[in-house]
Amino acid sequence: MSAHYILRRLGVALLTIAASSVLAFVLLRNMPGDIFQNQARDLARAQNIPFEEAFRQIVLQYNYDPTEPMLKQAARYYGGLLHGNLGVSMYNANRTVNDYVAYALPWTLLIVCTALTLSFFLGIGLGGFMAWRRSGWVSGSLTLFCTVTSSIPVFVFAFLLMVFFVFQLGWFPMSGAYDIMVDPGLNLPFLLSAGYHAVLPIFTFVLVSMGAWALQMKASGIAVMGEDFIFAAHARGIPEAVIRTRYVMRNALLPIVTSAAIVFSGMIGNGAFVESTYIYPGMGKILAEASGRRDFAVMQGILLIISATTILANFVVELFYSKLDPRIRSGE
Amino acid sequence: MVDGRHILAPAASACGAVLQAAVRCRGTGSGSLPRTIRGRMQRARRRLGVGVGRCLCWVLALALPLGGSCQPASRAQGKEKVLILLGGGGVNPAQFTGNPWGGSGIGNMWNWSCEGLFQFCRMTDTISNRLALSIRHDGNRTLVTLREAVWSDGVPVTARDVWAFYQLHDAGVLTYLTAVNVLDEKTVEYVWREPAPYEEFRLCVIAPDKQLTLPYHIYGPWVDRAAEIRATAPPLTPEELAAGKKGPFSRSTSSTEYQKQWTDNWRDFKKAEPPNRMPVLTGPFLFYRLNENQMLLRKNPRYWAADRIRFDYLKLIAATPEQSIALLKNSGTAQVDGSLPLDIAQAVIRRNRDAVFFPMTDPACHGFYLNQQSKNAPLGRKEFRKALNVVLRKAPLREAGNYYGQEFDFATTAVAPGYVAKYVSPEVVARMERYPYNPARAEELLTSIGCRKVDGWWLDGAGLPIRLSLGVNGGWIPAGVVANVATLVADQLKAFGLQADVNVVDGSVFWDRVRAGQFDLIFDWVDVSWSFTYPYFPLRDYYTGSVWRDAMKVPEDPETGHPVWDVEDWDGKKLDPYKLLQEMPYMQDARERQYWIDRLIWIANENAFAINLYQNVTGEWYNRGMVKNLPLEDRIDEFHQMMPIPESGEVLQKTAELNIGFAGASVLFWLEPR
Repeated sequence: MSAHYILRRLGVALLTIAASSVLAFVLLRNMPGDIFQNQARDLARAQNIPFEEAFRQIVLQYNYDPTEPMLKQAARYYGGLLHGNLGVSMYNANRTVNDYVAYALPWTLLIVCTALTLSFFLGIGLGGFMAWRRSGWVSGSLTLFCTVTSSIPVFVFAFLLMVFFVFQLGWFPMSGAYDIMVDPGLNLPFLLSAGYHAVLPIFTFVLVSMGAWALQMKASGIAVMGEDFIFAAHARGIPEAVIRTRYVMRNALLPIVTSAAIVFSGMIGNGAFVESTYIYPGMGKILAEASGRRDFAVMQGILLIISATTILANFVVELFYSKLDPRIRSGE
Repeated sequence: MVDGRHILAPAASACGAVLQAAVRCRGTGSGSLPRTIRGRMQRARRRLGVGVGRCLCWVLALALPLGGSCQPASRAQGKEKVLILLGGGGVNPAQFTGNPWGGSGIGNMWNWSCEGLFQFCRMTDTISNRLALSIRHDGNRTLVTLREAVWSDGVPVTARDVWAFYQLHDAGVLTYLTAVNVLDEKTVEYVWREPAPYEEFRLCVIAPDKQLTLPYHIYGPWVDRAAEIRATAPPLTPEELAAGKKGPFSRSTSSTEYQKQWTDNWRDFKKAEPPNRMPVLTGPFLFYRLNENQMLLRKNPRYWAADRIRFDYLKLIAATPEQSIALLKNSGTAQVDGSLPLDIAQAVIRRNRDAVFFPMTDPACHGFYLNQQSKNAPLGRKEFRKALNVVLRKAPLREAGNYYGQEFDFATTAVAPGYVAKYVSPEVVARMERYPYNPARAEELLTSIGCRKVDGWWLDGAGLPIRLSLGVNGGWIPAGVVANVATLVADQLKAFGLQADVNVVDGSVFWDRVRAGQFDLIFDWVDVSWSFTYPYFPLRDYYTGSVWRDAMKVPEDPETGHPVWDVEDWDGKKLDPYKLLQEMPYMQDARERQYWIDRLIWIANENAFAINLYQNVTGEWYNRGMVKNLPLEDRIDEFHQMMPIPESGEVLQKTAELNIGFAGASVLFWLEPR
């Protein structure tokens, strides 16, 4: 893989990030609705003061001037971005968007990375099994299960799991990342509490994405099993288990690895639904909150991180794909 | 604070070692494969396992300590009495500042940690002393003496702290004052602009504020700067005051220079944080720790009434409405705010014998304001508005919107109609028009203004079809309820022959559209008391607040910006409600106030400026298995856990105090752990 190729791909990735950032910036500022007017109206009503006076007082509460031209806002935002500063929250002048990201990103990574890993291994295992034993009721049932789970939107699953495991059975906590009665830090009660609280969000992601992995693996495995080298391996008397794991699964995995980036970005993007349902303190929850308050600074910061994560994940997969499959020569 | 960087590396190493060991153990079970293949598989597995394990460990090691690093790390004791309430922190740890007025502030600890001089109770209008020991009126001065109390950092509370609040905060009471002075360490002097308001009114405008939220020893620089800036504002002239112009300490603060300085100082102040971000306050409970969905508050040992507080910790949990019900069913909380639909309430009671519902009258009603400048219907005509009031059958609307609510035959009364008998003279109540369901009368009224019915649909006097647009705020909580009510209203209007569409609009754009006049009927709280139920306050909001301009579209005087109400009393005498309500705080004679209150309420109902559908009945759920000393506690089983709506006396007061939104932390003075 040449340096020129890597640089070119990196350039494209960075350009895509820049484009998505501009898009987010413009779209957010053109959203319908005005949080100031709404709150000013409430304040005017509560304090029996003229709307204009209430509006003035509400704008004071925010670190944002609604009359500032968009170009000036953009210059300030991108100037800060070049220095690694994602901006200051409109709602809270004491907190930068970097603070929010530093707080929320680890929690999101915890559930997304764990869910991605678990769903990947469970999915390919299941898919491999379904490909190998593709006739019979077990495989049929599994295919049906995978089709159903991968078709249902993640927020529906989140709610259903909440109803069943929390409301009905009471097995899991209904919200949060850990119990407030434990001391946060590297101690067993805290780790257990954090793990316990992460189970349902992770399980939700696993359930939704595992089926897709399995179906992909099944399709890919079946295709590989029809290849000549598999017949040759059988003819050479290589044991079934070896053919299954080293010949079929390894080759069937190649196209699936590329979709890891897509699944990862899907999980990050769906985080808003899952995290909001479980009141889990990740990026999606922060994004949903900021959206409700029209905190453009936080929204565009989180969106930038999410889009950058997605684009970079794709970039990394693209680079490593040629390593995984020597038949493919990048850039050629 | 936990620093994630210090524990990151050892955590990753330790976890990695554990997982490597696990992988090694797992690798020994490869059974009957040839040795070379088994060896390769074991190595591959080990590599894979170690790689994945390391990845997971780094993620875990990064996520857990860093995620928790925003919390103060100290241990809550296990045996203390913890009161679990819903409401959550209201702010996530990344936003918490410790300054009650800064940015996202301190979230829901406001109710439990912040105190004022007084605490008023919505619904009963009672005012209790908190940090005020006594109050005395002397001419145009009011003197408030503070009790002995200290801030949470041990510094004594003084009159300077109260003064500081009024320098930095644009409290509503300031428009009636010319100064707030510190007479001595414990005495604050309010100087009222002449003529001074009557004495009960003075207390009513002082009581709602939480004055002890700005400790001068913490925020002194910003307070002093605010006082300097305010001193530069010129006093309002008698002409300006007569024209209804208002300003803090009766000063004119509209100059650009003043606004800029004030804004700069305020924004600068909002960034100020107390040491270690620990809020410095005076309330019964203080900040202990916070996470995404919970806030833990610890009893303030220095609280002036610490001996009356029976709990050691307050745990506030964030929950969605569905989660709240589950928590209520499973005794996961001691309290849930609000009423529930009857079937859900019964399910809760069946499941949990400790869950008790305490309903209470809400001084607020669901209804529609009528846009008098509608282009789609003659809503500027009193007869048309009256007709709308008599074509609606309110019982099904009440059942859909608030099962426990109360229907009245009035159109709109400015005060909640449940209080009409209390605050309006009996002879005037007898004189007030009633609007029971009566489609025949509605037809008469419409015909009297030239409307006619063609092919089953009413046309206006000009022969144009009437098509009413019902605007509903989609952000209303609980979501969907009022949209259902509006749909039923539209159905009833259609059944009568009035075309009607329901428009549910996102909360962020709803009031923009209302102001733009896009709706003819606007769903909102009508006949509502946001603070005291004494009629001056709801009448003031009704006739002089923002709804006359935003929703009712009453004509406006282009010079003064005041509403021009074209109304008269039952004797045909023209009145100016705006002017009367500006003067009312200065009417010293209670009979004179009553005289005008009678007329203003009668006028609202007579002109049918709105449609009152039903008065809301809210309530509180408490878990008697977790707390005791609840109102009528010994009769809970007799009432099958659904208590009656209290009418008067101690039960009414205690029931109102169960509602934190109505009476703040008052409930803590008598609620006990079981």
